[in-house]
Amino acid sequence: MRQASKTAWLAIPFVVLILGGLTNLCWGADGGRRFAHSDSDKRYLHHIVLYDINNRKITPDSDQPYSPKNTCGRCHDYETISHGWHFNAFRSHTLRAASTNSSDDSANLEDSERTNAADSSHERVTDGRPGEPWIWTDSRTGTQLPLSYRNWPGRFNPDAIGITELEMVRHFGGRLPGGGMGSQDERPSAETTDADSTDEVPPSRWQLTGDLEVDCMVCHAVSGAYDFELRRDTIGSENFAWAPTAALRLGEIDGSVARIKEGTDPDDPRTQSKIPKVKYDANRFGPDGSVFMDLVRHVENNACYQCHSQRTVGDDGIESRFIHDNDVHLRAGMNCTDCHRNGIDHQIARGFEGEQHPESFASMTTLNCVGCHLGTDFYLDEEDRENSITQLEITNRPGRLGAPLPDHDGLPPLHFEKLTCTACHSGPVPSSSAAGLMTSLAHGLGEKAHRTGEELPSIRGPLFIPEDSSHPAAMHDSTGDQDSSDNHAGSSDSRPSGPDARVTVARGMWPAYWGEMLDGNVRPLSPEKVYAATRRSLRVRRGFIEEISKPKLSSRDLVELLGEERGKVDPSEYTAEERDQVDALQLKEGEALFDEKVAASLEAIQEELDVQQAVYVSTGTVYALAEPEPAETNDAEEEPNPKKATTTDNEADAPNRLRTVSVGNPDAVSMVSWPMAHNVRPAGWSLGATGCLECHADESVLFASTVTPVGPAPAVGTAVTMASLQGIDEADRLLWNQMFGGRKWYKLLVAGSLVVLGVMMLLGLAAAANRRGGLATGSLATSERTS
Amino acid sequence: MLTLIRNLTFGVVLLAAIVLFGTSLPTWWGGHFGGYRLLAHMFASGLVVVGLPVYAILRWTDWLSPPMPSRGSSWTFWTLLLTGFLTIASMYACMLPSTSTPWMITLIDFHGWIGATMLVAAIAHLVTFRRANSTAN
Repeated sequence: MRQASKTAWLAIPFVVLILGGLTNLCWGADGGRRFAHSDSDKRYLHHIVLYDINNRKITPDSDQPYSPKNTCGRCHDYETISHGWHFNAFRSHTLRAASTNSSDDSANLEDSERTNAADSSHERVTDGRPGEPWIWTDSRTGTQLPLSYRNWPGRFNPDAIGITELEMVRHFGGRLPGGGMGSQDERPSAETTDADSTDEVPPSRWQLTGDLEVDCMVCHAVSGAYDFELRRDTIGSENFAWAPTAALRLGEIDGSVARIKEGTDPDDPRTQSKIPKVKYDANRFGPDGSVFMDLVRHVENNACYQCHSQRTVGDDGIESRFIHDNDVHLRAGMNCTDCHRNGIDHQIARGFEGEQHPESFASMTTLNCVGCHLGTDFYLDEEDRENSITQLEITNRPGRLGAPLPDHDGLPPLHFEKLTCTACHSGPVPSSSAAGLMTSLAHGLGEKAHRTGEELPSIRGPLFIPEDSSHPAAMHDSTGDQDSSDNHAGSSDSRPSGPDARVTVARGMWPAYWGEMLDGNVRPLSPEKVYAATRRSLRVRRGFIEEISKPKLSSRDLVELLGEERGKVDPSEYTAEERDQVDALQLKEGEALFDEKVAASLEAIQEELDVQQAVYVSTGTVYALAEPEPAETNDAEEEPNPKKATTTDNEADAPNRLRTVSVGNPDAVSMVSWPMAHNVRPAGWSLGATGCLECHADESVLFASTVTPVGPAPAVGTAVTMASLQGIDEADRLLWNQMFGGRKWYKLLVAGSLVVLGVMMLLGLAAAANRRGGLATGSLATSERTS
Repeated sequence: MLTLIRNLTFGVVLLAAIVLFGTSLPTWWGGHFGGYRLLAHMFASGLVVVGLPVYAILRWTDWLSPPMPSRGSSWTFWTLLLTGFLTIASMYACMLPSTSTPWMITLIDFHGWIGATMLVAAIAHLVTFRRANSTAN
């Protein structure tokens, strides 16, 4: 018995070795992954067999959509890829939900285990530098609500507002590459989200829509092989699982989940019969049943443009594309993915300094302006540079990807401590006031539509603000508790803040939403519920702005205002004075309508959604219902009503139904911003290219350009200078500018001083030489006399 | 009268040099140079730019006729002029639109060291000058 036991113990190491060997075989010797790869720069042709969600092979006779997960995932590490940057937009929420769920369990763990779990959780929930929020826009209710599952300042967590994952995918799925909330694997389980709910759980609509899986072809398909428009339409029809099939035009999709009533039992045979079916194009299948997927490893720019385009809106509307130059990097022949690259984990390099990238090796972390153009040791002083390990690496030297080394002639190094590279080099050419901006994610660029540039959401830029100012205090006088609202993300710790924060170029917007007041703080309400509650009171068909805030004037009004003849001409023929008159009347009527309809809607929300005090937020202002007797019952927080003179003549004596109130969480109503990096302008178009006075002057765009709060409400916001957003005292700025104004004369003075000093020293040298010569002559004469 | 003007000019230069050194002190330990400290530094630099050549002209006459200044006084005077010249020149080069960032960093570093040397030279000149004066008296 003892001998047998001894033999068993001796066998253990062998078993371990054998198992290890088997594991190695299974995962292969190819860098630790179990998937084969071509290891060539050449393009690998993908003639592949398609599989559906149930892992059944798809033939021309199949009626189920193909599943990227089961098709691409056969040869590629779908699990790893699906946690990449573009697919984890909703993942922080899932991880946090899981973390919260497991926190109770962790109470039973040993201390060391709990620490490891916490560290692991902390490591994985990384939100990165704030980016563009998902802006829930509803032009009917005047809503532009910045959302994000990432813990970014100024954004609201959809879950806390009551926006479900399904609503998020329905609303934003057209711009999602799939995964995250769209995928069953990533959604928080029902037990997690509704742990305390005792209500009967309604049948999940996800069973009808299917998952919006990570669709590899969104990015990897060659330009022209993937129909983004059809994908959006398919997602708009709630045919989430059918979107990849439709976008590749592999067949026709017959049916729409959107037409199936909410709450329908998915297992009902009648419902099943309504579920969309695919009619595959047999010509797409080869003799062996495979389908050619026309794709590339390095994603083409066209795929990026789908979600990363931007248009500038000037006084004359959307600026034409032909007047805009492209990013200098693209003009130089580069592609987006030359810098924004990734490994199999698809953690794409976002390309800003200080980026915490999972791939910590330098070739990823140096993919930013400084890394390529100036080298990673640019900020180190001489001593540190000599001791720097990275300096020993050739790949850390400047000039990566052929980047030119900028001399920055005449630019004091102080500027690198005060400004990001993008502040001077990136974004639309700045002018005296921030322009309107339209983005793919916010305005659906890429879709065929009649845009004027005034569509919500109203985004402004370029803004020159500190890196940490997603909520510049300068935009709001009140100093409320920044984290008092539990559904509103506080400041991020991932960026430098305070005096060390550099000025960067950014976009910004003012949230507009319907909310409720809770303990002095404002909290948004679910936009869908708000729409249902205000549909009758607002009665908006097309847009809040054109029907309420800026209503079209009747021909009678125009004739009364401009006279019989001019009142009938086309608006494009108005003189500037007439335009101002029309605008003033439009604003006046808009304010009256706004007062009436918003007040009625607030009442409707309070009644239908059981809200104690409903409010409407727009342009940095919070509107609430006026008290019945304002003169006697106004509380301390009431502010003067700015619309005292907004009533029409007929209603001159009618009391205003709205009042503005201040809130304890001003960050929930003030500007939300996010940095921009592209397009990078040529060096000659960068700020300061012509000298110091381009910025150090009273009217410079870097400091004196303004941004005016804009939103759906007919309120004219106060323009704010960039200097005030940067926290710079105006008197100090003007003082410095005066010094720079006299810089040219000071240079002459210094040159004169140097000349005088130089001459004096030369004269001194000459005198010394003369004395020495005199002495030498004297001594020679003495010696001659002696001899 | 000339002596008074000369002494006053040197006093202004010495005072400005002290202010210049004092305002730049935090940067010697990696501190940030900006705001009012930089403003004061720039104002004081103007005094040196004007005061030092004036003092040089007024003092140079001492070497034209006997009695010649003492050896110590001579050395500190010319050192003051040389370090002052280099201090001003290094900053002037930074103000030119042709100096690149790496050169500017080197020049600013040099400016700091040579500026500190100028202060030492100015103090030494004060000491030697006073000693020479008291000996003469």
